[in-house]
Amino acid sequence: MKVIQHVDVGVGGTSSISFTNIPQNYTDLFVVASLRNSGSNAHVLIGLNGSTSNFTERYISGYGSGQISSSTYARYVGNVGTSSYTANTFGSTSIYITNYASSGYKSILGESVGENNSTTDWAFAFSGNLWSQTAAITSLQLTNESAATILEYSSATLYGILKGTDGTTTVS
Amino acid sequence: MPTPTYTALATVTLGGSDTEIIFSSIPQSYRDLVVVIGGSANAGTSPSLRFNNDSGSNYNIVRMYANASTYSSQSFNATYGSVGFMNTEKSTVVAHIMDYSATDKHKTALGRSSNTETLRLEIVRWANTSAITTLEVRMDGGSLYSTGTVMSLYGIAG
Repeated sequence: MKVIQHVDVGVGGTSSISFTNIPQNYTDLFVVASLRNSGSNAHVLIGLNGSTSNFTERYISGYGSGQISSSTYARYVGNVGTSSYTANTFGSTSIYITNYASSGYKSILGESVGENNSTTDWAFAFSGNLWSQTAAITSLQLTNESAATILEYSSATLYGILKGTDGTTTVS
Repeated sequence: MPTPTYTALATVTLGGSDTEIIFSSIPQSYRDLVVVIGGSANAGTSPSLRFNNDSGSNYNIVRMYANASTYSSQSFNATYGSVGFMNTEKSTVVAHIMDYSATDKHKTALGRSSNTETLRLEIVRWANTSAITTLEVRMDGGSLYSTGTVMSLYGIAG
């Protein structure tokens, strides 16, 4: 696993975090993000190659004593801290994308937790997206639902994971 | 931010006729193992782990899953440890096996998987204290991994 790019959000925040010119020589991509936004909606959305369409999703979330699952969302990959969350808390999100440089559809696994002292806000989310496009992924965007600003001190790191062999382990 | 290092131990790209893949001679020098599967299957089924060829009922599983608008959880005992769900749609399965070389504890694995039908989170406990030297990743019910499915085994240094 190697760092491809790291983004620290600076003063004033940003509307999106974007990784561009992603090299095509890894097997999988892995994103780790620490995010908080200025709005009231906790969902963080993924875009690929600038596209926000052709996503199909399964989603489950637990918050306080409640749960929800849905297939009506699209592009949700996790939760972030919102303006109503406990001060100084940021949501943690990880995203795993297999075979991102292939010519097949892309499968995306998202996990996140957004800690809040309240029992009514989203706390845990697990999602699976299928991007029904065959293009290799060359860029990846993270935004918030409702176009809220991603606040200063948020960060995201894109890693590349490379398949291979150690010459010792055997496969049959 | 700490970075776990994924060191590739073995990778196989499947040809459509395999129902099980066996990783052997796994080095004991890492802390954890991670199995990643990117691809599909010829039918809806569970990719499952079997350690050191142990086919006894020594695998305890607890699972949470969600379909389109429903969700549930269950726990059961089996002769292998399910770590996800795959079907004919493109799927991602990531299974993290903790402390695989320890000899003083039962081994646990955390499996996460996604596709357009089902999300799953699963925990497997293998009731055995032996170090894991052989890892079988088998399809439940004899289903097949589809052509082009990529399965990799990684080691994470402790």
